[in-house]
Amino acid sequence: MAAGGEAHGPLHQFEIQRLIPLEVGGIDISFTNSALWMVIIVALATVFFLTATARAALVPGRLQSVAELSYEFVAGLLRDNAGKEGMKYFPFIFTIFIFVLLANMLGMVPYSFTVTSHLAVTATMSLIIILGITVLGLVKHGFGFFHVFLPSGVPLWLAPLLIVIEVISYLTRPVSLAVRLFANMMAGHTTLKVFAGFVVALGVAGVVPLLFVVALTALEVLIAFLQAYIFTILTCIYLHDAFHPHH
Amino acid sequence: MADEPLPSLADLDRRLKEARDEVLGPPEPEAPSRTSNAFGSAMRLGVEFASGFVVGGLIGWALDQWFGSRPWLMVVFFLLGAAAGTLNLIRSARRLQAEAEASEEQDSSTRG
Repeated sequence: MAAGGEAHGPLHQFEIQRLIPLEVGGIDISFTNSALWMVIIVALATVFFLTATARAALVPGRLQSVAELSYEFVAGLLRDNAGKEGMKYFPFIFTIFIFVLLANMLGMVPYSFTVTSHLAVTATMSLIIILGITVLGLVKHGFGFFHVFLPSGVPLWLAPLLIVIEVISYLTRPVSLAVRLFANMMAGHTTLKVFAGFVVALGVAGVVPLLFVVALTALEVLIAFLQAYIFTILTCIYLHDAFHPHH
Repeated sequence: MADEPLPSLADLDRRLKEARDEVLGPPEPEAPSRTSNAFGSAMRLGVEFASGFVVGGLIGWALDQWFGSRPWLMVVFFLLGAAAGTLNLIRSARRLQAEAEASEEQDSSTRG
């Protein structure tokens, strides 16, 4: 019963493999399977949107409709949550949404690698987002941006305590952004593999977990979309704070 | 040639501006599907709450390492982190509530 320790245990899917070992100045920058899948995601997204919009027609074809729908979906999201000023950053938000969505969805393909199931990837993305938004807020409002940390109408004697709490609350943003995406993808894929393992182990009775796996797969596809949606909507909400530091 | 743009260009400019205003105009009354919202918000709130504890604890731990005051700063910052987590929780819950109320109002107005 060494299911977990075997080469093909439920956690095997998350292993990073060096495809092209590479080391520069003592830092391991090998081209891994994770990097390969990121390249695939970017290539796929680029090719898709290039072909979809190559022959843009007034009455959109199938591909063009999908491209337009995704565009409008993200545009609506951004407008509702970050307001008019936020539309300037549409390309960034759109890129994030498509990248996360594709990473999650491609992760559902058997034998593929789920890039977003690694904290290193999601943490990097969320740090870039939060740092970018913080810099943007500082550029836009200068010192006034620090109003984020002090809600107006607070009695002065409470301010020191509240500022510390608000700063911690601000620092939780990249953490929750990264952990949510990573934990959801990791947990979902592990559950799938564990149940799939039961199918083989239980023989004829394996039909029951098999039905479970089918249902879970559908749920995972929903979660894959949902997490991309949540990641994007939270980015939009944080972007809103950069424009309006007063709560 | 005068500085004034051609009339056709001015017209185009005006139409472009109108189109742009339309795109950037008031948000369309369109809510994302309700079921996914309920499911998503449950996860959103959980992580929001827990990350306060984690970040608070980590800051306290790091400061303790720095000042060699183990474990006092960690205790203090863990509690502050709990407050921050609760603050996060209340803020997101309020936002979700506002969203839910807005979509409900919209429902009743379209139905009624």
